Amino acid sequence: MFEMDAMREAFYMVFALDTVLFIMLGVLIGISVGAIPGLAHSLPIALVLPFSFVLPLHQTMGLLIGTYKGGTFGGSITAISFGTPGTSGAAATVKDGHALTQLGKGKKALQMGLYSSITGDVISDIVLIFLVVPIGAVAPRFGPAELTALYFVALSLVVVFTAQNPGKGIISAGIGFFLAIIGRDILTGGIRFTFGLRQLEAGIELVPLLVGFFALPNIIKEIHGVITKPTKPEVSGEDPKELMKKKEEGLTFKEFISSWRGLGLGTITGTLLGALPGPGATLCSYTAYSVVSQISKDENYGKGALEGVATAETANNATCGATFIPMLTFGIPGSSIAALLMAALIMEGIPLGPRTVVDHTEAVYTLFLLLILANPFNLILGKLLIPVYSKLTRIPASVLWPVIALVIVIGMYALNHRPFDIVICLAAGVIGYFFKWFKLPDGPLVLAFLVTPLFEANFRQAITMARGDITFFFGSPISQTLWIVAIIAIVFFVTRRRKSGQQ
Amino acid sequence: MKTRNILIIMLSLVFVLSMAALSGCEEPEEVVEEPEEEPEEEVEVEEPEDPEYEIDLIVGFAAGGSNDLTARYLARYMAEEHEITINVVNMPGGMSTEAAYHVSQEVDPEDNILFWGHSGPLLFEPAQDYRGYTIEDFEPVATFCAPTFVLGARPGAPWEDDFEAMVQYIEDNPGEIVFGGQGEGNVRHYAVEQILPPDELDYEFVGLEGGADVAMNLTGEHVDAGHLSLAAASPLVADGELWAVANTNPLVERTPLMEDVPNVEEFGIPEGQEPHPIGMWALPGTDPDLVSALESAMEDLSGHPELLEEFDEMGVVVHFLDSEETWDFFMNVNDTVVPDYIDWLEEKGYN
Repeated sequence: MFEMDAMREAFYMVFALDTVLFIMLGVLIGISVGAIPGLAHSLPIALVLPFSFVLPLHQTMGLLIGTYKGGTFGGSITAISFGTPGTSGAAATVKDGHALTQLGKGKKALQMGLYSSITGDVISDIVLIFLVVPIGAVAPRFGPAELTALYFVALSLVVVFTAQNPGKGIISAGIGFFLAIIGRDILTGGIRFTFGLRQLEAGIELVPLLVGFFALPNIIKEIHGVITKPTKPEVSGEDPKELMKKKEEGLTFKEFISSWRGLGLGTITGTLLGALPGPGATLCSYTAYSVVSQISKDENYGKGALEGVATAETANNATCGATFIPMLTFGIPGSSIAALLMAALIMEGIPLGPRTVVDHTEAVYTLFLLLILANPFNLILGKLLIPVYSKLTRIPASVLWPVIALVIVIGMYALNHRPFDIVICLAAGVIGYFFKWFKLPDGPLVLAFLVTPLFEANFRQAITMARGDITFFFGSPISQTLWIVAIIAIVFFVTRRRKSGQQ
Repeated sequence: MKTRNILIIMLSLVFVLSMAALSGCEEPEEVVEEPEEEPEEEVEVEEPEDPEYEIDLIVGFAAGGSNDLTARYLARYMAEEHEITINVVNMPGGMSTEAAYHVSQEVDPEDNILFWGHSGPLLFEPAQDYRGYTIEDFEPVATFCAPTFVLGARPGAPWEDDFEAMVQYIEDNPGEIVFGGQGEGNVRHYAVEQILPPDELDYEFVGLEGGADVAMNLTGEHVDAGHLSLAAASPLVADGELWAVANTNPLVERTPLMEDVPNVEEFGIPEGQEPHPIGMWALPGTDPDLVSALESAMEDLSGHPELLEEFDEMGVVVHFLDSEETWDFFMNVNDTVVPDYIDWLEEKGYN
């Protein structure tokens, strides 16, 4: 039930100069850190966490929400400019975003990344505000049987990526499956495939894997270019200073709106999957990206299409508001960043659970308003920083790429203070380099790596609950619907593959 | 170009103002004029100043969980009350074994890097397999608190809201109940099987991923009963979405957050208590004055009313054990629970 007094109090708190300053500071930190490869935006959020002890709720959460939103967008900046995802959630943006930069359309891609991020963010916030209670009530209905079906749908998307070359796709997915099961058994804690390496017992972290996989091949290629063709800039006849001043064309409204499929599906996927504990921004953006690849009319999708950037960025930012749904309704964090935000709220004296909306209405309204208010600041600061980042791409390669390599190494260590994460990043880079060399698709690897642990855990839990009764997997209307979706998706993808093969 | 310069200046101003706000954000305290006390003695006695200490406290889990939050709350009160600076450093991985390995093998005692750990990484993990360290590589500073776990049931479950009725129902209805726990083949699963022995009671145990996952599955009625952290259970219990029927804390009988929920020991099942106390562990050779200062500060804070209230809200019970008591407690667990646990793992095929 809407409470006017609580909303009024929240409004006065949020629309005050101090709160606005904290949101702006948060967005600035988020974009800046998110745009540094390897420095996931969970890092500044963790660093800011102790301020919860000294700052009031509206200031702390303004800072944290600003950082979260800014960081989620910021990850796309380096993904587009340098082919190096700033955060794991921006990995799906690399393919089209970086291809556009190489085609001289980096500014358009960055603007598309910004506008689609804001679109996903705003819609997800609105959904959170108006549908927190009904969506929150549905979320617990997703038990192991339903989640098995859901992740089967996600796994079926591997078929999409393998459609062009099934052999290469299966190799790629196989590597993803294997990397995902290294370390501890998710349920029993038993050790698997560590080859006697103690450090592998913790498994392979997503961020070092993705950053290494996408960034290092680019760095090797560019540095190799610098060594073999050191006079390249002079050959082009362009003065580096003039190059820095050169203006690029920006994104037009027509171009933005023509990506409506990506914007729409990205928002829906990010919001719905983001409301469930587990999937996270990376899986949401990859899922949306692969679905849109099947319905996009743009022939360049996957090779430098604005719609590809729009899909991935809308989806990962649409998780920002949605991630609050399980938190505010059941006190359940949907992702690692949600756990940090939840910790901040607990430290502010707001216990989270089914009674939060009733007992702490003012705090909940404050969160809603902060989420909404962070969007315009993300837009303004993003617009302001895009020209800066698009110019960075014109820094001489001999300076730029070694600096990026150094920043990645620092970022990898800062993530968990584990030197072994740097080793994982380097090994992932070697795998990435071979993928480029043999032209293996990267999508199956990433999807398989993300979905395997989720699918495995839920499947095994459901099998135990079922006691051998296979009908358990089809018992509820939710799981029945999801299995039907999975079958339709596979039939649709295979039919399209056959048709395109015949053509 | 001018507009951009203005915006950059504005951003700088935002940064500076925010920093200023950070330093001046606390609400002004009410000024209460107290009558001036006359000095008893005119002679000035110089009190020896406590040396200021600074340590890094390595937490083996990601920021945001109960392990991390307890360390952060402790750090806050240590700074406020005892001028001891604690930098909380998260080093997640391998159920905290990564952090324990780092502290025991990769740092120098003079670095003042300590470990915030419980029996999992210190006893049960090294007992299962070689982890590169043992508890002997550490010396205890003190035990400070213990997260509480509870046995819960979904509301509307076909038995009364109490432990004995639940056990009776499972006995009368073999094979009907699905029980969700926080993981499988770990010490929590072991504790559940001590309380509900599977050779006497026919129910299905499902290893879920954590307290929140168990809570979600109970709320969604995918499992009938479960073993979960009090932190995950308490908001649902308060809302009537969950029944808490027993707690398994080994340090206190009843938890302040749920006074009416009995301890499994009250039902004659002390082996069902989960030895999970969290404490601070140093390397042998760490400055004894520092260890002693930390120990006495922790003892003092274990009676701090505000800290106690905040820990209660997290579902964590504050219970101080000094260095010697901590070592005795852990050695007792090592001699009694760990061998049985290892036997149980082998019997169940987990090891």
